[in-house]
Amino acid sequence: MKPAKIRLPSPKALRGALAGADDKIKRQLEVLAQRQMSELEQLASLCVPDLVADGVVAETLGVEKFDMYDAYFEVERTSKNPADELAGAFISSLVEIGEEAKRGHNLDPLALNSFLRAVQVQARVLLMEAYHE
Amino acid sequence: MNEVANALSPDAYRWKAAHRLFFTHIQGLVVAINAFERDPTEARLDDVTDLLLGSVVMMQFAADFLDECYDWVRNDMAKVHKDFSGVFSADHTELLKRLRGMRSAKDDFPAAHDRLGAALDTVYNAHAYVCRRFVEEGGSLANPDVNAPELLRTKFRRKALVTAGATDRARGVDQQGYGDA
Repeated sequence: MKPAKIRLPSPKALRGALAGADDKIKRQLEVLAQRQMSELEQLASLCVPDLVADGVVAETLGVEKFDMYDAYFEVERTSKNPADELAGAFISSLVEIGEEAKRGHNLDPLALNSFLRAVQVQARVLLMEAYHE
Repeated sequence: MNEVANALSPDAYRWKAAHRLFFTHIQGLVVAINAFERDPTEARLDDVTDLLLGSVVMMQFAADFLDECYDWVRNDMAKVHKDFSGVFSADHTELLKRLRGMRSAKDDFPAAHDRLGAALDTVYNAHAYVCRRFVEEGGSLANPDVNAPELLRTKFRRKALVTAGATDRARGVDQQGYGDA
């Protein structure tokens, strides 16, 4: 099996209160929340979070179709530390998209604006809900 | 199978990478819905709407390659399961359930709730558009015998609208009819 590209919280882990603790991730969210970026390629300049994998056991969701889907998209799951894990996966994925966008894309300016606005909103929501800023 | 047979095409890589961002975005939507339920304000409701609209473009980016290249992607997914579809996504399943949390917003924030309903319309119509580019009026892997874009535009859209309490818009879907979905 291929190594996962991102680790996401299990949906169940997001149901409780979130308490993020990783300052580096929080600072990256602050950068994203403060100012909307203008190009997808700028996302590549974010720092990929280095979340400690010690003690994090990759989990499956225990439902065959969900696990197949995760495996296809190279996603692994954890029920630990959902706030940092989600925010970390969000930033890692943005970097991946920023790099991918350098190959070119056909999004028109309105679509691009919606994309980058949603990135900014998500960063703000995570800061408020997971880091209580 | 050799390495070449296992290698992703550049388009399949884009498909997968954009889906990974999409999954983090869906989880962000769930967090935003939780926040609205805990402390309902118009601004929090608009956050959910903005995130939904962003998800439309993330899907557009995922499918930002030539139509004929989709066959490779489709065959690759079919190798995993003959019915492979977004229904296999745990995060998508969770989001559809959690949309129920937006129902109460209809009374307290009617204008913002209608914007949410309009965003849901956009999500499903845009997904149908992407689907139509690739399969025209054909079926998906999960529903090979029905018009897949029409299914998204009608039954699936209606279900999401009803779940979120956007019943007027759901009635609009009924009035438009279900075509051959």
